[in-house]
Amino acid sequence: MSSWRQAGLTYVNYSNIAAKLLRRALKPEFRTEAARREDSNIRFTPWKDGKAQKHLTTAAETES
Amino acid sequence: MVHFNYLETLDLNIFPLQQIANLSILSLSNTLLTTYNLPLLTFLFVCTVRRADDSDVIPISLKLRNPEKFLYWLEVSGAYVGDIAFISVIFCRDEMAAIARTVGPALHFLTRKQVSTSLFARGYADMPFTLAAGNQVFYDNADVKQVDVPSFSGTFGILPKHVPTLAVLKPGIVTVFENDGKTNKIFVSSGTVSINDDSSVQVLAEEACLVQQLDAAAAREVLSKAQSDLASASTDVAKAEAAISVEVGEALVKAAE
Repeated sequence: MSSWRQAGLTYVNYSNIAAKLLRRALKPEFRTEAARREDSNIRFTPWKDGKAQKHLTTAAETES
Repeated sequence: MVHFNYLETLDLNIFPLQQIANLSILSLSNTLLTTYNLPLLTFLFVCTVRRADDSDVIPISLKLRNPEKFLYWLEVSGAYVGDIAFISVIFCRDEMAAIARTVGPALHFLTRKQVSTSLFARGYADMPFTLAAGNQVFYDNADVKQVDVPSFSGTFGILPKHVPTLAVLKPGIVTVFENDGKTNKIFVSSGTVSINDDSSVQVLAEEACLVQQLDAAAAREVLSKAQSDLASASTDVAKAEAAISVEVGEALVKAAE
């Protein structure tokens, strides 16, 4: 437990990783619904000097 | 100082404080000894309280009230339902043995009354159990017998009147023992468990599924991928993530069997 804390991860990170892996280990019929849970509905757009920069996606979007 | 000739030991179960609010005892709780001096009478009440299942003597504070002649009320604070109080009443010989004889039965009456009400005392409280995951509620304030949860400090079982606890969950199986004898196993990826002082239990999982919904082959795949990630990881963060994945994978494989 302390190993990932030392590396700078939090329990939230731990939880997200565990949840993702669990979704992958489900039987095929449950996987489509699970995949829907994985999608993130958040898109970050950093602004600089009055201009929108490239959209940032969350880790979930980059993974799936 | 005084001579004692009359000693009675009375065992009585401690009831919720609101039920015995007007029961007062002088305290002897492994440190404290009090005498109560009344005109013409010296009583020494000795009381120790211990938990029902272990031999720890717990410190309590007690008070004696005497609202009426020959009527003594004993008040215990700091004890819990189910604790056992050993009360001894020592009457001073030199004083009014006759009054002691009168008071004695009154005390008996008190304690017998309390003992008889204990037969009707409420039994174990319900344990409203809630188990919810991101998109599914498995139990919603359901009445269950016992729940086993896998936490970072080990797998522990929760029964009614468990000590209030907050714990985080490890990937593992939550076993619910329902009232009709059925056992339900739910694999939980992570989350929290709270046990409140009213005995309600909430397990909030990030992602949960019945163990029947796990695919053994997919679980083994997850584990092997995690192990290879761990071997090839370079940065600390990647190593930690891979180690987490291995842990989760192992729990998945174990549960899916």
